[in-house]
Amino acid sequence: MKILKLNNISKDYNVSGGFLQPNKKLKALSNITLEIQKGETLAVVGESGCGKSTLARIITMIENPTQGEIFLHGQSISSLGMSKKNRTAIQIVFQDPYGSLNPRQKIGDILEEPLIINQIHLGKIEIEKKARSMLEKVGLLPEHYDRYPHMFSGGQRQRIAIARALMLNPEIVVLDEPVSALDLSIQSQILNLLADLQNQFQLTYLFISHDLSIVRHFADRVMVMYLGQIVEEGSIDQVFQNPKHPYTKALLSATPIADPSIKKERIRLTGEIPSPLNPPSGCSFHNRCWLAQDICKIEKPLLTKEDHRSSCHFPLSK
Amino acid sequence: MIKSQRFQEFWYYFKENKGAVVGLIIVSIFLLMALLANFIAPYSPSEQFRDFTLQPPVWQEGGSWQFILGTDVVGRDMLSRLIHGARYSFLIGLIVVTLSTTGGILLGLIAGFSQGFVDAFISRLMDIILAFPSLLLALVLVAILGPSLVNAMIAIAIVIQPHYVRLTRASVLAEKNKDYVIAAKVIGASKLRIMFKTILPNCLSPIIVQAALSFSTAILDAAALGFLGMGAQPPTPEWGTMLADAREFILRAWWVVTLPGLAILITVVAFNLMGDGLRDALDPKLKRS
Repeated sequence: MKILKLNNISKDYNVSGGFLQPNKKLKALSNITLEIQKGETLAVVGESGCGKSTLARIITMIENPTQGEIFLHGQSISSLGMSKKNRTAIQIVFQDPYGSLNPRQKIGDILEEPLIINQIHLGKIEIEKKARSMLEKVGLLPEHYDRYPHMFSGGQRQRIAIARALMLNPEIVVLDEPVSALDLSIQSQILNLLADLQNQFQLTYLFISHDLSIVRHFADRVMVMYLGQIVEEGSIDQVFQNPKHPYTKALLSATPIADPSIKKERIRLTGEIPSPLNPPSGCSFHNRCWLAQDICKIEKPLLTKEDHRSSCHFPLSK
Repeated sequence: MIKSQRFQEFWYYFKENKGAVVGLIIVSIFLLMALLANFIAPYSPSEQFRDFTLQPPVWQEGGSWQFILGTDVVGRDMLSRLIHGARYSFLIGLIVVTLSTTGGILLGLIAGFSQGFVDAFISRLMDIILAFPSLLLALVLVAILGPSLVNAMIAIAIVIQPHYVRLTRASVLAEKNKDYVIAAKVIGASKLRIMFKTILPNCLSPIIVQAALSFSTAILDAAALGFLGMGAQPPTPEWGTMLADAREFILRAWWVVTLPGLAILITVVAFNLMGDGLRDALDPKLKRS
């Protein structure tokens, strides 16, 4: 059952070109179409600047798309604006646990605020009860209720941020690199917690990351982005075993494997990621691709419509 | 428990600055004097002892213990007038700071939040106010409103306010794109809630410091306006007005001029010292952990 559908979403930013220069258009996302099934974890991977976080901000309705529509349960939300019900159905956990909690609020207040705003009919005692039980569910202690964020470690703060996101019983939680700011040992604890909570509350995750080894273990499907576009999408097995797009292959070859006996074929990409202010013609990857032909410079490859889709004129096969 | 811990941390940094502690002590003494003026002052500030005009302080020849700091032209006890004057100074400081902070914070929040025309309008208006020499502008305002202590306070509040607007606007701009503000947006908090409950408490530290510092500016400006005859009117025992009254006797009786002047100097210096200490204690950038 599909829960969220993005139809042809684009997002442009106007960037000032300098004094007396015309504004430039930065294409952060172009023509993103994707579906998320209920209960699954869709990972979004890509280099920094490829539009992962913009996608998260659009889905959580922090920003409006320039073009395209978002459907939640088949109902368009971007055209209607955000009704309260829609807004609470999608929540977000940010990357930086130090910036995402209000330093002047106690943990209890942070957890209760969503309920105070959205569920006015609830009494004070009931709200406090819910906040305390949520504290327990994310693995914190009852006495943490009265403390301030600066008294917690990064991992604990991220638990608090997760708890806050879950207070409104959301259906979809966008995880914007939730563990990349944490120590390696804490990362696995938080990932396990997220997996537990997903089972417990039947959550759907959009998991943004640049760590492919985490994605491989945590996600069901993966979507690879490059310069604001989807280059490949498919199940974990499909994409990791049998990447179709050269960019995906290059990304995968850069993942370290904890086994010295496996011989690695590292594909080294040359050049920098192009500026989204001035994207290359044709396939946006052509100037870094080792398989590029003339057609790649002229014609933009379209995303195929299969289950394991990719956008390349010369998809790789096994 | 958390509150007290916060206070302890604050006190730890505050007491590092010895000048600030001295300032705090002096301010507290003056505050006590102002509060208990009716009990401490030996006489009423307006009672005239016609037989003892221009009597020097006790330590000088001709002085007596009856009037410790001497008397003025019409025989009013200087000490009593100075003690009651502290009351006016604190009142002026308090009212001016309250008026200017409320107005300044409100305008600053609005400017910081609404980019574009409203922001430009408020900011430029404040720039215009700041472009005038503050005392001159206060004088003009009092001249329009009519000379009285209340009008002087309103004028000073208007002159001081732009500092708060700029300070608040800058803090709001710095805070409003942080993740916790966006998180509040995602859980559905209204604009007003985000402005006052989410962002404002995180902008308060610099505003508190500015408030302590402008307390002294307010006292000084009010004294200046009083001296120029545009503030408190005689026989109010306001320090600036006392100075103005006694101007002609400066060569014959130094104490009628020097003592109110000293009182102004000491309070202003004490408030500034305290403000510096507050900045040390509240500004996270200056904290050494």
